[in-house]
Amino acid sequence: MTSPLSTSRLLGLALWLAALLAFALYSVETSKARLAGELEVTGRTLHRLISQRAAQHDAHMTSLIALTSGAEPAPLGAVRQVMESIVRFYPRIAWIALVSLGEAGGGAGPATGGAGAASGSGAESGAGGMGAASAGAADAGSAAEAGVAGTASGASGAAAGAGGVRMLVEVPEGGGEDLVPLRGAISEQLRGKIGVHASGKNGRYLLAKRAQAPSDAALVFGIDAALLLEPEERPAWAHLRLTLDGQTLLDLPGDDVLGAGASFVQPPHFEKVIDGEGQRILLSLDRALPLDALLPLRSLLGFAVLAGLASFALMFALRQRAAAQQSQQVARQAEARALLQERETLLAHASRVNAMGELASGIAHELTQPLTAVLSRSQAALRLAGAEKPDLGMITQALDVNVREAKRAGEMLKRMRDYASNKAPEPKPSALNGIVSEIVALTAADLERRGVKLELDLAVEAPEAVVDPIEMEQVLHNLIRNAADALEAAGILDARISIATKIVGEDVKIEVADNGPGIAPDVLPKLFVPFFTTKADGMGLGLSLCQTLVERVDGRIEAGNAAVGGARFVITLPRAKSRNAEAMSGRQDG
Amino acid sequence: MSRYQVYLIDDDEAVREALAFLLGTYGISVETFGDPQTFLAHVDEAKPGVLVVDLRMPEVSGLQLYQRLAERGIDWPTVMITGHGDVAACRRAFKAGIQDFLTKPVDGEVLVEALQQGFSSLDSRLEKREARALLAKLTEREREVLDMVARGWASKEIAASLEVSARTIDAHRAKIAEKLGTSSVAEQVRLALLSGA
Repeated sequence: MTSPLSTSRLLGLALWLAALLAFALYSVETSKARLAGELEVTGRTLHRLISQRAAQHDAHMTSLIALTSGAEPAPLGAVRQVMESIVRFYPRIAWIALVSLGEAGGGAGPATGGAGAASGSGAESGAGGMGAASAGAADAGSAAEAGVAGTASGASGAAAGAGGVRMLVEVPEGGGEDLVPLRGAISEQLRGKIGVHASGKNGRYLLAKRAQAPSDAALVFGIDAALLLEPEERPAWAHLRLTLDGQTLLDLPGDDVLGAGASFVQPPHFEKVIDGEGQRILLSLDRALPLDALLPLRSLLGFAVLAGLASFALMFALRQRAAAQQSQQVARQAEARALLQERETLLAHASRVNAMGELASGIAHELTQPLTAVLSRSQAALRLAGAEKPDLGMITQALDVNVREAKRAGEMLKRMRDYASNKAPEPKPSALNGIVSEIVALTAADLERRGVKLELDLAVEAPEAVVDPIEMEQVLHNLIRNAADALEAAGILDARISIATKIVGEDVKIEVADNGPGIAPDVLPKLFVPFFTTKADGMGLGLSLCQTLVERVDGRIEAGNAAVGGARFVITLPRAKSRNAEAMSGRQDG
Repeated sequence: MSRYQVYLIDDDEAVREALAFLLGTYGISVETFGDPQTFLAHVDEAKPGVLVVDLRMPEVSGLQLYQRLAERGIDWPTVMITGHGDVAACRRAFKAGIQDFLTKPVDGEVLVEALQQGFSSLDSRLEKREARALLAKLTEREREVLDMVARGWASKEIAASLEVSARTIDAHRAKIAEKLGTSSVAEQVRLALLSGA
């Protein structure tokens, strides 16, 4: 009862856990893919945005360069105006400068170096420098070379190159960068190409573009990397970095990325070089994968509840099915029992009919006696009546005896009818002595013929039990017949069968014993087994049937050998305590 | 009253009484016994009769009784009555020499008829027994002479055949008449034939 249910409970739990695990794995996988995909998309979007803006810078630089080169001398006022408007509209372009890289004198490096050192405030005389720049443009190449040599030559060289960069226009004023270290690098740039350079300021990088030859001017943009992206464009969940040659320009770790990512998954990574600006700026995006992102607690809990419910439902269904099967089984068993009982009743009837055949000769003899007497006496009476002087006294006497004999025959027929009838068993309080007497009446003739004496020892208290009298008669008949067969087979001279009824406590007992050879020890345990028989022509059903019939009325039947020898069968039945007289008369009238 | 007694042996008292009552109305005298043993103890050879015996009785059956009587030289006609017409039992009974075999319930007329035949049979049996007893008294020579007389030979012819004188033959014939208790040649011949049968 408990085992199938606990099994189903365990099964339900296992199913639940398995479903949960599968869901977790699936959830992690899909979350990872989703988050990585998200990162990729965001990365590409950001990259496009930044690249577009880089292209804008390019365009601005180109137009400014064009403006500076358009006239001679350069319309610096107009340039400044444009610069100012650019800076105003594009906050990320933090600083714009137009510088002259050339040295008009074209003097030796160390000389210019000295001049550069002195020109700490040289910017103030920009206009003059401009002219000089134009003049010395032809020499710019060598001068640049000298500058580079100066830069390369060490710390003193750097100081010496300062003089090689002359500020022409600067917006905003004083937001400047120290371009001296970059002079060589910028000078090396191809004209028309934009170079990307590190800035001395944090989070800023420089874009430089040289004017067309023969000008030695260069335009420099200082770009604030942090403003390359609008705040709302930055993904809060990702770690965004912009680097220039490995140097960090921008590092935004993201706000709500708390704690470390789950260690068991490779966090997604995105990186791409920003197009259009010398391809040296690298955009990288990283996303930590915290467990709760991979495995959202709420959906996990939701799933757990759902899976739990499903498991419970499954378990419930299984249990229902088991219960249904069980009740079906119970129904089938009950049906089988009913069928069995029906069959047993039929078998009992068949067995009785069969026994009737065996009894027939005895009963026929028993029945023909009263018939013979009646016929003879009737014929005698007829003769008397036909005489000249009929003796009425004799005739009356003869008829009286006839009536008595006819009744005797009728009783015998009634016994036969009852015994052979196929009535459903009807257990009722019955007097055992009456039952014994009935079966004795039926079997007496047969036993007499076979030379077996019947001894009765019936209890004076008239024991009663709730039994079907016909079935109990059949049980006794079987036992008596078996005993008679055994006695006959053994050739016992003084063959006797004794039947006793007695009351023992709450039980009543019927004992059937004989003075035959008894039951062999190896036969004893198999005695009540169906189809077990020691008789050549036996079916082996008699005692099995007896047992069934006795147990049907809560009794038991035991076989053994009496101490004085011979077989002894004891039927024990629960004693019924009802009014004897009623049961007795009921048996006889019915 | 019948010439002979009827002995009725049946274990059922009602049957005994009823049959005795019925046979009484025919004027047949019946003596009843409840079991074969009692009858065997009381039977008197000097009072021959016809037996009516129930075939199926406890301890000793009707057939066994018949055989035990035969062992004692009592071969009275016996009518077997039985509760059921068992063919095998019937055949056995007739083989044993039973007079008749009737099934119960027995019709009075049929039983009386069987008894009448039994009486006749008993008559002839008794006559034969008597004839044999008489002839047993004759000497061998007297028996020889009686046989020739029975063939219808005259004394002279018998004397010639036996190569004795006719007077000797006459003396034999006188002795025969004396021993058989009759001088009637016809009666002497009848006795001789009876005994020879």
